[in-house]
Amino acid sequence: MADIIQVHQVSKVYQDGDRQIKALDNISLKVAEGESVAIVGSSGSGKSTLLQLVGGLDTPTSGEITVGGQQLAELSDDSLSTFRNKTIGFVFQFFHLHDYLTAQENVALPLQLGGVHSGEAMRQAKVMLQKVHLEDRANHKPKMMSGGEMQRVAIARALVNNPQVILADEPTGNLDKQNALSVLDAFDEIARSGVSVVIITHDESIKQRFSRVIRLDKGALVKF
Amino acid sequence: MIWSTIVSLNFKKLRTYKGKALFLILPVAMLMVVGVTVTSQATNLLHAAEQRILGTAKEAARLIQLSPAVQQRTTSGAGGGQAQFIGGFGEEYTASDVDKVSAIPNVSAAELAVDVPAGQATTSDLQNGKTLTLGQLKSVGTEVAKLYTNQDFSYTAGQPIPIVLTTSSLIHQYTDWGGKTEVTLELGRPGQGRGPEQALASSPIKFEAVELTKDELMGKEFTVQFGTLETIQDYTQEFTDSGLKFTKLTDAELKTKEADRKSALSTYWNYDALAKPLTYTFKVVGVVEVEGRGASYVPTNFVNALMHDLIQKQLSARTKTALPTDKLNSTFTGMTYDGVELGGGQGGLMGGGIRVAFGQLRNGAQETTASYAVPGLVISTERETGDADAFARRFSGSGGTVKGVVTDADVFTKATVASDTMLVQIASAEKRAEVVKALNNAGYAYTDVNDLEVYTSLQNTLSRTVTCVLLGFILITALVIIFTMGKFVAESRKEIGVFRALGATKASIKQLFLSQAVLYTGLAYVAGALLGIGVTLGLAKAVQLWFDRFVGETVQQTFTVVQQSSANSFAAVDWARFGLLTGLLFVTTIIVAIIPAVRASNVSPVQAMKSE
Repeated sequence: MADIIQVHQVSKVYQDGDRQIKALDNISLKVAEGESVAIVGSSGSGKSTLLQLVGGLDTPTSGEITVGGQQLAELSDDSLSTFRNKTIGFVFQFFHLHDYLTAQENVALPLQLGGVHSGEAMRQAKVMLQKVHLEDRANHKPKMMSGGEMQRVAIARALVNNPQVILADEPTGNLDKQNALSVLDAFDEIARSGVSVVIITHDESIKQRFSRVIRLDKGALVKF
Repeated sequence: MIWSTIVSLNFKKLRTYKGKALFLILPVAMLMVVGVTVTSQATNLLHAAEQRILGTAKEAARLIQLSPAVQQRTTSGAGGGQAQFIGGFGEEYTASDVDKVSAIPNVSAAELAVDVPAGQATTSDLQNGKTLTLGQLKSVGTEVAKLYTNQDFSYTAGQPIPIVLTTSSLIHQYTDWGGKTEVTLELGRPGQGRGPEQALASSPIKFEAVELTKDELMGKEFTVQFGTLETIQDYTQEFTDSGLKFTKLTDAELKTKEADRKSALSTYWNYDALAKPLTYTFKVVGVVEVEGRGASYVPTNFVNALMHDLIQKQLSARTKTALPTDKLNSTFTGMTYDGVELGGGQGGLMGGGIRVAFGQLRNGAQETTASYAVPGLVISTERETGDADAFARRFSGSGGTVKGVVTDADVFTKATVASDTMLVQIASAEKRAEVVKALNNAGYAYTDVNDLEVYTSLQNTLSRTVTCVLLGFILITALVIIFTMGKFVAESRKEIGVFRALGATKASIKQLFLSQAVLYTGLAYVAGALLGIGVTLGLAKAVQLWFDRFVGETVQQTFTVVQQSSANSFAAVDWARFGLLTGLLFVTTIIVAIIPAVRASNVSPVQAMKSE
């Protein structure tokens, strides 16, 4: 299978006053289509930075990142926005649903950000909510939903544009065991559908559910 | 992101965060209320000030009332009783003066305010049935009349005659003997410390001030009777060592006097026809409230018609008996015409008695010769040459040899009329100083008193207020939007980050926040505008009351405010400024909201992944 993500000798250095903080140090890795990868590591190991760089939210200090055959460094800010909209689906630890929108509207948002009219976006969003078994919550605002439900809405939102990659930052970190399992089941399903999934997690217990586990320590990959 | 999505997102956000939105909506709405109210009422005040104060002052500044040296003199007469004259004596202006003044640059019109020599003019329509004498009545042309009234001042036969009424020209005359039959008036002598006012106070002949306000008079129609025979005096008067002695006549004496007059007049005139007054209906189109001297004004062409009718009435009442010339200007008095000037007949204050009194003074005689003023009688005289006594001529008519009775009813129109008042209209108030200088250079002494600058400064103050309000409006609106939108952006960094992570471009974020500012401002605008209009209308009465008080306390002390105020003047919204406020509000919003919108668009998408 072709590699959907290629990270080649990527480093990320943050400037903190006079001090330089090396968040990532010369990392190279590849993720194949349909592969599900868990990135584990302690806090400050650089796993969030890696996810941000792969998702095109930030740019590396050095090295190259290619996602879906597109070298991210070549993209303008606007093109990078379009790239994120079409190619990447983000799932965040705290869901980041907009509380002034209903579940369906939240799911429709990426489509609308990409220029799809409201009617069509809402139709597709409904289909996506059915996939995460939340069609009955379509008109509910986030505050009326449980954490697990909110995360499943967030997953539906991540999937609504049919992305090639799902990047999830601690998706179960804020959920109880039951909800976490249901979310993980959803990720399994996504991966089975051929979408690559990269998840950051602290939870060592869930790593066996992924086809590969990458461990980061102080910005570097740890072989095991 | 398409616009419908942006607008829809902002509406949904507004529904959820009403409280937050009010931080922007409330102050902007209040600004709009203040803006609409203050600018509208300032404009209303400006308009009212322009019309009522500045307009009047400006119009007043276009008028120069040219009179020879003004003096105050008290005179008494056997016929007219005690009358106070405040006026110019000596020179009078004629048509040649009018031509001379008209030729002065920037003088747009000059005309004589000619006394109407119609004799007694009375009305009972104005004050509780009291018979009021219309004092000085002068003719004025339509052009100069514009300085006194903004209404039509043309005379059309059969229609009410427009009149600019000077309240001080209305006199109620009555007698009060205090139960006595004899009263001696001690005429003041130099050093005795008794002025004319004290002397007058003890006179049985009283003149009561008429207290009618402008509001009561404006638009009022009333009838005036001209050319009636004057009331027979119920007293005699004679000079004694101690002063002027008034003696009340008995009823029998009064009846004898009446019979004597009727008998004297009936030989030469049909008594009833002569005594029948001419009645005209007037409509008050302007009111001049001044202390002291004041004349009321009527259209020149009406005066021509009135004088024609008056003279014609007398001529028509004549019997076939020839009128001997020796009886003219002795037994029968009237106006005199020397082929050039029409003399005698001093407006409403005139009366045969005055002429007789001066005749007595000239002759030194104490005994009153029976003398009757004949309304509409014009005595033809030889024209005197040389330095005639204008003062005496004015009251006594020509002193030349009597030739007969003038039979041309249009003699008034044909005579070179003279007046002690010339009204000069200046092309524009700004040229006043130049005209005053030119008048003085031409020998017409005139000292200017003009407070126009005071009102220009008032106008400037009001204009500055509006400018300050508008500038304040822009400034505060800008600050409110910058701070509230800045706060919204600061509180939305995570949300912006998520939007960016999900694919929103920088431009979309800018549009999102700009449209949010415009949407909230728009709602504030609608609420503020409606409330502002309501407040403006609600305050109309209060502002009017304030303005009226202001006018009363300031302007009316100096200028006669001719223009009328209306309650509706302050119930108007200045739509031009409303439009300006609308434009300023939205332009300011868009300009200043760019700052927080750009800040929002610069929020990194990494914010989406930052810890809570």
